[in-house]
Amino acid sequence: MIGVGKVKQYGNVLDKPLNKGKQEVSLSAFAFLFSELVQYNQTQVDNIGELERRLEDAGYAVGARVLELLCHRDKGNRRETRLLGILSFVHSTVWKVLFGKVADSLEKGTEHEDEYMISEKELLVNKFISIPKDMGTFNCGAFVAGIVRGVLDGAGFPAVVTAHFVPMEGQQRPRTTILIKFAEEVLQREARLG
Amino acid sequence: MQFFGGSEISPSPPAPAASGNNGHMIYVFNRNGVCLLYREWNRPLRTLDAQQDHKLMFGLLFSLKSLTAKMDPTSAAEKGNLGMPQLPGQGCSFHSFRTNTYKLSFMESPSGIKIILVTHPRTGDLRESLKRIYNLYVDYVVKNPLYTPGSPIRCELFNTTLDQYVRGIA
Repeated sequence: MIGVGKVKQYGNVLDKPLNKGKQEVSLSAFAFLFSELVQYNQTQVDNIGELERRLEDAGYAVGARVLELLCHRDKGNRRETRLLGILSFVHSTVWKVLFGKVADSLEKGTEHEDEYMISEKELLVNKFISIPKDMGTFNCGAFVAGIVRGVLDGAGFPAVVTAHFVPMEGQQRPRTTILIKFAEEVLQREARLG
Repeated sequence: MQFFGGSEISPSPPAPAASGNNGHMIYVFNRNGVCLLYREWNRPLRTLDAQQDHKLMFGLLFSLKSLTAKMDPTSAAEKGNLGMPQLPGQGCSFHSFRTNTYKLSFMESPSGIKIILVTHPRTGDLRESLKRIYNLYVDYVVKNPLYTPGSPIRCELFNTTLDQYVRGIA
């Protein structure tokens, strides 16, 4: 087994120190695992919408755990109460831990007050995936949208999060945008806090 | 063993040929003879329809492989009769032949994926390039969850990167 000699084997996974530090995983290994996740879900559903929902649910579970881990590890057990705070947390810290770099951009939606967008030139999960024409607007970035939703929900900012392709002129591959639409109560609370 | 899977393969529309494009055509077959990909960039003369063309190409390679293995003067291994199907890697492997108008380079992976690249006759040894193309295949086709192995390749990303790479081959 690869790597079995390097890491000290703990009898119980709960005994492992959380501050073990960041370890990197091979991109190919992750790509194959993610590909298998998508294929498995494809056999269980009948339509594209259902498939996206399943990927999102898988991401939600990851997001909830990532939030707990990062709060303990990186932020010294402080929690974010402001909207911009949690958004920049997702945009920088969460992205850095998951993908090795901060997200490309964070924007506020112009049309609606409650919409924010995190954009990325190429999501890591989509690096090797090309969508055939007959699958329409299906985006495997729904997994990442689920992660963001998990983080926001766990932090007390319920939102609806979706992933979209935004075609860019001059570039073949469309940019990916994660659209975050916060619930009413979040905006009201934000307004109350001043 | 299923030969020549019944799916209809129509040649994908040729990419716009840059002036420095050396590649003429590329075929990718899997171990059962299904043509996974056929792309052409520069093919003025076409004599057969697509299906027959693929069958001819696959048959040619099959025969060439058994012929070269049989005629190998250095191998001490027991060789089967001419025409017996061989495992990938068994026998000596031929990698190219050249005529006065084109050069055909061939590579077979351990999983039976055969890559054939037809270029102009002055091209050098393309074995490294074929390995890079196989890497592209692994990256953009095998890792794509929306592709079923054994079916014709319809991945945009693979097509565009392949075009770019072939354009850059000296």
